[in-house]
Amino acid sequence: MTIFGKRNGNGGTVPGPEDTEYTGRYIVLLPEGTTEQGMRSLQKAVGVKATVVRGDRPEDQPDVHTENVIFSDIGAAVVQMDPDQLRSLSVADEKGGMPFLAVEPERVVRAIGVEPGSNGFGTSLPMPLWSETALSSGALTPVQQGGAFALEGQPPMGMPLAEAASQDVTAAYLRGYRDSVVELVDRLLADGGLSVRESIAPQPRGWNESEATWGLQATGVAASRMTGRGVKVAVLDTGFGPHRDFGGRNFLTASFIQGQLVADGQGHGTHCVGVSCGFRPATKVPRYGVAYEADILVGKVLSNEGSGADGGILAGINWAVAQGAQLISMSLGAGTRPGDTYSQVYEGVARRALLRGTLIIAAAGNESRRPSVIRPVGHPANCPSIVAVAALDSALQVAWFSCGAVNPNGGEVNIAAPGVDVYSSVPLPPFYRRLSGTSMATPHVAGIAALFAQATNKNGLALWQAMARAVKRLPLNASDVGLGLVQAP
Amino acid sequence: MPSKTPVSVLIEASPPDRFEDVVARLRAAGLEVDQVLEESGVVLGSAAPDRLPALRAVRGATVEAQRSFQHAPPDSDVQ
Repeated sequence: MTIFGKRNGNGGTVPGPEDTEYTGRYIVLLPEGTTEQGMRSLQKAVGVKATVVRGDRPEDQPDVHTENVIFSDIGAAVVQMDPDQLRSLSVADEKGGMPFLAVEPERVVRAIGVEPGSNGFGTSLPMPLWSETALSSGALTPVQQGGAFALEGQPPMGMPLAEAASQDVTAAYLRGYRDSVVELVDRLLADGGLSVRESIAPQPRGWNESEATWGLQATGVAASRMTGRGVKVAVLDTGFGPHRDFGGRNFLTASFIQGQLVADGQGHGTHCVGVSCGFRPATKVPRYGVAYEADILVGKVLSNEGSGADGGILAGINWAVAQGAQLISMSLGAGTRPGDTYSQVYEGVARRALLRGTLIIAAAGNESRRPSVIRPVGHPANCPSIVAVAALDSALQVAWFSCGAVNPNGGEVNIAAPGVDVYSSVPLPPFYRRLSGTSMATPHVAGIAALFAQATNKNGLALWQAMARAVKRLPLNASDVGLGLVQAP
Repeated sequence: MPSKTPVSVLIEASPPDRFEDVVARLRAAGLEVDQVLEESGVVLGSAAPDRLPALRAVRGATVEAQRSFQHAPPDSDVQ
């Protein structure tokens, strides 16, 4: 039984079934050739002193496992920081002038692991194959590192810290960090690197987003007193984080993707968690999250490549229901054709979830090309007992891609929410990004449902009804927007 | 040998038929069980494609081939 975790005295070493642990230290990536500047900045911003390690002089290396060190050859520092120091680093970074490209928690890597399938999970055992890990809190959430930073199919990074003592091990440790940093840099470059910052800039016409995103304003969230406190919201997607805006939050995470940890190597999941449950940031960005005090359940059901299958998604739903989540947000779907019927398996699961007090909310799908082509609501949003969410743009018109009611019997759109130019969190610099899709509309509804759960103490079908009664009607077709625009209590 | 088809199965046992009875019939009909999702009453597994009709005929079980999902690439305008 896993309960919502708090970091332990060692700064967040929370072993899970897969033995992923954190050392409590953080890897800080520096731009090329800025070792000295980085060392000074670290000391100035957070009072951390680090020793420079040079790969060509192994004889006078400090103990890389206990000291704060900067690896000059690979442009990375490994430092011990407490949450306050991390926050200082984030704030300094926001002010600009800090030479850090990225900060991520250092994990413990064991050279000898248990092979998947060799631990007794056989085909005959009615035991879940997923892993469960309580996430600790911190200014930069030390979420499990996988995703873009995971080195699948390669030798484990570094060596077991507890057993590492010799110079040989130090060399392996250095090589491990080099690989890790190379991976991170490749990822940054592949994603367009820091130029992604430009895509954040323009704010939607007619809205002033200096305080809160247009979506939070249009749905009345910005003016609501509700926070989602005490409500469990599960987001089933590509995982989460790490991200600096989620310090101090209650997290429970599980990966249903074999060989991948919960960390989000794709970005989609972090964006959705941001919209549904994001914190009101202390930094100079607008508020973008709805239920900013909700407990967050992150179920990784889609891989770092953004792919998955029914099995993982159903396992994720089952996990969230078993954990007592009031809401499940699923910004995922598979396209359907006119005449298709809904999945009876998902419908049965959704009904059973409702009986246990869990409401499932899913994206209607992005396959339309309006005005000429309107495609049917996708699977599994087309189930009668799953809420199907359409996307609106900032003019409160149906988004050009948003799927509509083409098929009867569950294929309706139930409700609409902001889903164009939605600003939220992503795991890589610049850490925020605008995205569009019914994927972004869905977590608005899930987050607002959490506000209703807090306000009314209702769950399941009664919770849906409370939210449905409060929608803002729109002068649009119900086949496109369902009841209308979701509104916060 | 043809590859197996991943399936998800909703179990709806009517008393006196029990959950385990339905699962046993599924196994006998060729289902290889990977996971049992107890709270949801679902069994995940796989079967040879030519066994699917037999699985679908099992009383108390709704059998569906698993679909796959794919997000748009991270740099796509629409997610």
